[in-house]
Amino acid sequence: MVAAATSVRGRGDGISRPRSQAPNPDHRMWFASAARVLTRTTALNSSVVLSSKAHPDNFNFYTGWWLKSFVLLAFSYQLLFSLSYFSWDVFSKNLWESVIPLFFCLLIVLAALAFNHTHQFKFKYVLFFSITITSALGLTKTLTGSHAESKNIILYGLSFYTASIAYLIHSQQLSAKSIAVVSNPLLLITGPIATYFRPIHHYSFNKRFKYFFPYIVVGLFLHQAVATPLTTTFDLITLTDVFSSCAFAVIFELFVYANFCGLSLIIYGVCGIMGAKVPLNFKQPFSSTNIVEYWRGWHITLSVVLKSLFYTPTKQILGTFPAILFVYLASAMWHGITLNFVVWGLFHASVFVLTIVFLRRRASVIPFALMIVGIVVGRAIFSDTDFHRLLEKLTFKYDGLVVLQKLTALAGTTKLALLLGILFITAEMLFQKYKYFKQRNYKFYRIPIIQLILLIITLSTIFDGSGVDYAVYGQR
Amino acid sequence: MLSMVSANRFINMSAIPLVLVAYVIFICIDYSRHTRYEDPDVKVHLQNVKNSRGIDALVFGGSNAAYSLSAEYLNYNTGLSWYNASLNGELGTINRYKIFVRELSALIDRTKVRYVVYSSMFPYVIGQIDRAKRANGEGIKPSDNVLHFIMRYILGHLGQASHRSTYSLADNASETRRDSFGDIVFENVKCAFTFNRAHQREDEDASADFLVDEAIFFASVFPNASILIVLPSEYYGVASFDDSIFEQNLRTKFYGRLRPKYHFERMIQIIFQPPYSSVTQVCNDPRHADEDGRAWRTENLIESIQPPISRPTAFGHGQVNHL
Repeated sequence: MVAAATSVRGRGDGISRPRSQAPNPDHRMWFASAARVLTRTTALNSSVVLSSKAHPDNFNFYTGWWLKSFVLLAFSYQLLFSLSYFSWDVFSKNLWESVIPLFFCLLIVLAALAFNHTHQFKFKYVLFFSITITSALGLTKTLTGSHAESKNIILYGLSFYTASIAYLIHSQQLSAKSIAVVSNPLLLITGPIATYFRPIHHYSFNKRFKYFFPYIVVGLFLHQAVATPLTTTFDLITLTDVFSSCAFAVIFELFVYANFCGLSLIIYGVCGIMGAKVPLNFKQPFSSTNIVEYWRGWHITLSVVLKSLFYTPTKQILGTFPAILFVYLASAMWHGITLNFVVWGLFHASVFVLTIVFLRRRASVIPFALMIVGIVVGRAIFSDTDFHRLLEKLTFKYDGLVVLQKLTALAGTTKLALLLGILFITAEMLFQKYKYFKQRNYKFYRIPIIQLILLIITLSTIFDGSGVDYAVYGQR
Repeated sequence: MLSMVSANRFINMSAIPLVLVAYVIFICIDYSRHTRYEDPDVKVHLQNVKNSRGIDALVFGGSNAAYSLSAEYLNYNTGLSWYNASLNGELGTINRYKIFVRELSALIDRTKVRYVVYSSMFPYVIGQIDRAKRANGEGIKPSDNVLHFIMRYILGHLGQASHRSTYSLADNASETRRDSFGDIVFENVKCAFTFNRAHQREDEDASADFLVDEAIFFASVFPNASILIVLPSEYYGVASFDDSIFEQNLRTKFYGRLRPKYHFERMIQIIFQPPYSSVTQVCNDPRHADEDGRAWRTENLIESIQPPISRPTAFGHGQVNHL
């Protein structure tokens, strides 16, 4: 994936030109068209490289950005997550396993560049669901949140890669440069989908560091001090009684939030320091009073893509509620092609629709209760691909308090992580009206004294055996 | 207001950088401590093997094998000369452990070894395979956290028993003296069981890849040996823990991956040992048996080996079926 993107990036600064201006969209043979596009962009690129005075800011910015990204990735790989096992010996293991996906990615880019408008319309949906296809074929793993990485680094980030290109096609921003931007390894690790990517020219490095570094501290705290130790609780998934199922769902929700949000904040901070503005993927989702607000703060960039690709067009044809159902089913299929995701999609669509109905009647308690139920039960459904076990869980049978024995047996680091995570979320919920939480941008956690506390907690609790480092959304 | 600004500036300009610098120093100390460390059991094993008159079968693995398999019992029941060369934590990294295995094999006639048992709990700990596969075993994270380190330091100075790290190669090393079979002498071990570990299962693909690699490694070092890859027994407590799906999938994937890589498949066998049935069978960890548990697990291992190794005859020597 990375290599494919790299090869394409060099082809062009042809770049900010809208797709509508692409040469000769009516070619029947896509590869002929692709060849032409590439020839032109290569020529254009050469001219830009040779006479870089033409666009000095753009060229220098993007070249510098790539260089910096690779250097940063090389040095901070273990900080973000452990790439050490699968990354370096992937080519030596089986050449074909590496070459085929590489060719596949190249094909995506060529096709995306070459198709005319009508074909692009269909192609963006094929692209969006390509991760569903690879999951069905067993090439990538289903995204339940559990530790299950795709072995091949070339497929690492395919979900974000294809979703990003689908969005680029939809918003008519497809170009070699925009593909290069969304193919950046830093963004493929765990998102966000680059719905926008802007250079920050007007702030000095010092100012950028001062503003963005606190996001990294919060991200590190969430990822290392909260999420990583919680991976040792994953065996709770096997318990099917009501209390155990709920306890696991709450802990797993906490884990997914801390892991995904933590990494997103780290990447947001790193990109910011390096001089690029990317979307903030999480905005305190638990500072919400209903599920609609919750989704406005959770994996925001995917919501933007889903809204653009599915909600808006479907709403015009079928109306609001079928459009919501369609969005959730599309989202479910993007996460994985197993039965539990279909149930998850239907369940969340129902909760969302019910919330809208109650909000229209100006009720506030029921939407809040629906949010809690939606989050807990939704996560229980999301996390378990064993459908028989899931059905057993959904009978909500009482079988004593087995879970208490399990929870008390947890290691001290895990208990501390659980406590910290619960405090983090509770603060988001309880103080959502206060000025430090109101803007939903983790302002409270960016106060210097809080930063110091978070840093001390993080650095004094992490160690090699505390749990598993991985990116929940970076497995495929 | 002015004081608030000053306080914030102090935190940003001094306190946070100071914390970061302190952490870097701690990482350096931890790194040097970790890399200088040598497991005392390594020397014991090498010395024991050197002094032996010939070894027919070897037990490798981590602490689960050290506590829960008995070379003496195997020796008595199979008539073969067994040695238990297991090491706590499998020396932390796969590379380090492989070097140890090669060193040990250089001291004996490798071609005469007929059985190699490799009992690893790595597939039972999420992320452990990844950690063990790292080139050096160390990274930006310390092997122990700051709080544990400080507590150990203070307790050490107070002359109290050392506070053990969660993941340390030295765990119990001083108190688990080995006999001439390489088995732990339980008289020196305090078995105080606390249910402190969650049951985990690693990704089946990762586990299968790891076990196949290990099996092929042992097969290459001991060319005439039957390689027995053993997934150890655990104590699950009161709660039920259905492992059948993991077991079935891992077995299928193991043989599926082994076939294209290794042509003498019949020489390699994967064995899943059943869980301990009672807390009275475990010592200080769900995977560490006490003396009773060790006898039970070893007996179960003998029964699991196919084709079976026959019991000793009245003349004191076992008839061993050639695989």
